[in-house]
Amino acid sequence: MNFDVDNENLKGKKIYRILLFSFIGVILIAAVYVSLRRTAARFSRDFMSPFLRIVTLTEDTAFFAAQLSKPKKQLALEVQNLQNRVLLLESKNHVLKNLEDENKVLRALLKLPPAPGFQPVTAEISGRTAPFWRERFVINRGWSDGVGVGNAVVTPDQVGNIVLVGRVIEISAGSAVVATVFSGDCRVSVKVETDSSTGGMEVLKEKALPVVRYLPIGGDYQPNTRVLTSGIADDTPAGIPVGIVVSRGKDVPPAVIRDQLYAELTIAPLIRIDTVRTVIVFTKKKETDQ
Amino acid sequence: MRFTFLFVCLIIAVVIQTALRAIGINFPLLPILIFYAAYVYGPLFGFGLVLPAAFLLDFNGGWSHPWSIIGFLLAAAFAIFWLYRIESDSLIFLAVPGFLLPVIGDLPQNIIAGDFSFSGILESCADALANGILGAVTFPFWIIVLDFFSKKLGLCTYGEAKERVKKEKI
Repeated sequence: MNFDVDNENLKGKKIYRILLFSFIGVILIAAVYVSLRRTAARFSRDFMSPFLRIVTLTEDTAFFAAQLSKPKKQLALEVQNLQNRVLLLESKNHVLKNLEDENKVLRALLKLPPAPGFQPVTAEISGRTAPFWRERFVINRGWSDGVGVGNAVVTPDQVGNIVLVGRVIEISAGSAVVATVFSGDCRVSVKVETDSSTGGMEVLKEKALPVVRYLPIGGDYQPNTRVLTSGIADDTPAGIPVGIVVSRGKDVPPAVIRDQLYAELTIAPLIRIDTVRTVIVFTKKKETDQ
Repeated sequence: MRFTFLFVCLIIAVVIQTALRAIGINFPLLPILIFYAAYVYGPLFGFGLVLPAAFLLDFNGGWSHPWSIIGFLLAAAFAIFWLYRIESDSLIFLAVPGFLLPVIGDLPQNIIAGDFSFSGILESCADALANGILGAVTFPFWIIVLDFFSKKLGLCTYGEAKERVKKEKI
């Protein structure tokens, strides 16, 4: 009888030990995964980036080969047009540079801190998958190109005006992950163009349109009004178009009042996310660049 | 040599699959490579390829977690099952793993990544079905290509794997 009790006690202890070791094992695996995930992600992207650049190079080579098949007259005309465009942009840039210098002087006179400067960096999408097609993608530029977490990512729309695509959320030496304005990971401070009311744009439910929250209740919010970046965060330039205010129906104001505290607007992003291939990242200018 | 061959194949497969995914074509090449590795070179190579393949593919596609591990483990396990349980050397019979591999090797992670939403499941299933049909047609071709290079390098081929198992049984 005593022998049976001892045996059962031993069995109980064994089960208890197995459960304890399994529990510790699961905790250890989870801890190792959590701490190593970002490093592994960074390593994976950096390891693959030279190989993935081959794809971009091949695309470029094919594009150049296709250009060579065009008649010389057409190519000469295209070069002429591009030279004219470069001249126009150069002259516009010159005017803007003067304004920037003037702004610096005025800020110094008023003893205001210097405005943040931004350096545009072009990047191509190197990785994208169907389940997150509209929410996130990987670009072939990383911290070695000056890109940082939180940097604003833009691209030209159909008429050539830049619109906000999203923000950089993860980074490695040669690549970065961008969360688009359709992703819950992308939160941007924005303002309504008509009355400059400022709020925070975010996506509350995946696969839904983004909303602008914490706007003043008394603001003038009309459907189809543009929403722009506010520039409050020092890693996002001000005035980049993000989207337009969506109407909630005829004779219904577009703003929803939440808890009698703030107004909330639903916006339709201006970006045509499905066809984006090339983007521009606004990296922060270093002191030496300014 | 097997390690080097699989490593080079892994890099090529990740580059092709990532490049295709970036333009909206999702054909799962890596489950096929993992199946081949597990079937021809043994479970150690097949299962050993799962982790690097999932990490390289998922993180380069912008995913936060390497969910592909699930599908790739299933693909490796399926290779072992196919090697030890199915008795057929017919080339046409290869259409069966060709159809099943894109389904079991790609569907689970797509459903998880799509947050189990109804539309996500529907899209993933439609994707898997199309890839399954494409896989059934192209699978013998992938085997021929991989076997060609294996043979050139003096490594074991797909057909020899079955014979090896038969000898082991005897």
